[in-house]
Amino acid sequence: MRAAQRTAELSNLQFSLLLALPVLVFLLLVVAYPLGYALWMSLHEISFFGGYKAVFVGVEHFADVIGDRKFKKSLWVTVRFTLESVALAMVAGLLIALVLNRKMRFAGLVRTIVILPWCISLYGTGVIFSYLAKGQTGIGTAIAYALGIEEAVNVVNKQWVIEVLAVGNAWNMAPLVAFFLLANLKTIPSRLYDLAAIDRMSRLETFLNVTLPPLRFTLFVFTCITTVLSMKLFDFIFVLSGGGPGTASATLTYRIYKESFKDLDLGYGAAMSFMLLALILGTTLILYGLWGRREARSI
Amino acid sequence: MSRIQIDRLHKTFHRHVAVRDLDLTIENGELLVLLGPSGCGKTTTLNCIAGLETPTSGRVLFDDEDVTAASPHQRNIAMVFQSSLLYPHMTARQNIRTSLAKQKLDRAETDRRISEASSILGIEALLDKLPSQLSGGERQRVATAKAIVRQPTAFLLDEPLAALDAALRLTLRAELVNLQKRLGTTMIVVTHDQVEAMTMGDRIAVMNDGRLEQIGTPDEIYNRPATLFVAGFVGSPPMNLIEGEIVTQDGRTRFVSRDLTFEPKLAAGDAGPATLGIRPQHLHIHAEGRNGAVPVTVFAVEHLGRESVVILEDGGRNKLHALVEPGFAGRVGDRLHAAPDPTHCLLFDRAGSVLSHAAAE
Ligand SMILES: Nc1ncnc2c1ncn2[C@@H]1O[C@H](COP(=O)(O)OP(=O)(O)OP(=O)(O)O)[C@@H](O)[C@H]1O
Ligand SMILES: [Mg+2]
Repeated sequence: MRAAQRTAELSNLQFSLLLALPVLVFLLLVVAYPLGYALWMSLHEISFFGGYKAVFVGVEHFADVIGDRKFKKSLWVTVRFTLESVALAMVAGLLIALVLNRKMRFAGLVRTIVILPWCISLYGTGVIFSYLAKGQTGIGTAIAYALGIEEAVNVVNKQWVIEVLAVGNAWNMAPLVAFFLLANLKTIPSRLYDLAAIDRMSRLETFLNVTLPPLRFTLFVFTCITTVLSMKLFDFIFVLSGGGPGTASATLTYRIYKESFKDLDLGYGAAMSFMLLALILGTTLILYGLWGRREARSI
Repeated sequence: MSRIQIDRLHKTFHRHVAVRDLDLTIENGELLVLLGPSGCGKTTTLNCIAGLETPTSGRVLFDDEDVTAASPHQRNIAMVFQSSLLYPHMTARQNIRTSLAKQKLDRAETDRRISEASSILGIEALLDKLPSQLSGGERQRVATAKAIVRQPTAFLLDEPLAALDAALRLTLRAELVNLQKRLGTTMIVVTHDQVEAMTMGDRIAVMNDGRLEQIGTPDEIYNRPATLFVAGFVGSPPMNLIEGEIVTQDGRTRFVSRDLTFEPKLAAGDAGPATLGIRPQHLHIHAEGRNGAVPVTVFAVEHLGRESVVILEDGGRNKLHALVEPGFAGRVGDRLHAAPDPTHCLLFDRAGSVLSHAAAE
């Protein structure tokens, strides 16, 4: 009788699988299906003119992508944009968090204002920054006028457009970073600063020994998050620079969009998007291997 | 090594007074114990000495030099914080080492000091653990080691033994006193354990409600308490306190309570409500009633091995403690009589100040 009862019960694994079933089905539909479809496309030459046709070409697209000069240029643009965005967002986020952690009046109001950039959609951020950066309406021009220079300053040029994009992107992401860091800062017992004073630590030593350690894991996590977000960023770039001038700000996402939906080479675009996926996975894995593993162990 | 003077120190937190008008001098090389109930301002006083809090008013002097405005850096204090504070991401050894970072010692000397301090506190085996891997008592010992590796102006120890078991406490108490005497460095130890205070301190400063109640040697604090608070706070089992009144009649002054009349040697003019204090060892138990004895019933008997404590209840349901021989045969409910030894009685006036030191005469 006991044995009969036992067989009627589910094992822990079965039970958890049962509970997870709806999610698994959902994930299958929204992740696996598109991913599989994209893989299928990347292995085919798809044409629309003269009727829809899909011809199997094997890994030819992948080989082409690797040899594509425009792809290499876009890869470099993405890397440069990502490095700048992440560095700016993390440093700005840390500084904002340190400032917000100070005792001040109207702290709640200040926090509300500071988080606002994060609440603005990337599309909106793109519009704002294009007004701020372009010659006719930009702050560059305003400053030049104030200094008596009668010439419009357009920073959305071949030389600086990536920096403009990185600043806008960081402006959008930094508040989120700041808030997570602030949450960590709030957990530091104030008596630890007293201990540092008794140990006669300098301000820098205090920062390194008291303030920084509890932030390190969050810093790692957000370096990963902002890296991924920057690499796959599209709408903001689309609105602000449209990949230009020329192809000066054509990141991988922009190029994938152009290949797939403007030039309608869906197979080639799909192959390129797998390259982007590999880049994102590779970067985060390297980050984890070099940095994250150590931080995860220390918490 | 320093003489520390606290001159009319006053500290308020948003109108809440933590320390009021505290005057205190700690002599060079002295071990002073700050004793008082929770919340009486002990930690605040230490923080002001260390420079971690700025006094609302008053001064702190080291060797007659005003350091009130000096930073902790300039004061060179070693401190054990009440919560056995350590840097969470550093091992015990690294924590101890940070104390020496500013002392410009060579590696060998640093290591020697660390191993000496850890052997005093018995934490050699724990040196490579993180604070989160240590028990409360172990953390506290590491924090103490972190303080004693230094050669500071003064040691400030805020309840350094509170989290330890009784046996370890006993050993470390002696170790700390021995170390302090060997180094001759001024030390202030905070505790609310009065046994610790009595055994460790050259002098004890008893604080209550932000005020200094009395400062003196353990003997003075115990035998000649200046206030009712000190009398009640120091000593275990606590001193018996009997409420009554001082009346002057026919030129004679007497203390009269519900069940007791007692004639102290007092100057006239002290008439009014008063409290009689008598230590448990000076409350004698008799089977028969007699003059100057309170009729009592036995409430409980506690055997401590070397002696026993009888808790008695008088007619007003007040509890009285008496120390008796271990062979005491009384049972709960027995009716007995308790007679205070008149030569050891203390009298306190309504405000709590002592009126007589019968014991001292
Ligand atoms: N930072 C602070 N802000 C407000 N009030 C404080 C602060 N620090 C201490 N107090 C108050 O000051 C009083 C004295 O505190 P303190 O920490 O000196 O007590 P203590 O004697 O060390 O007590 P304990 O034995 O419990 O450690 C307490 O009533 C406490 O509530
Ligand atoms: Mg305290």
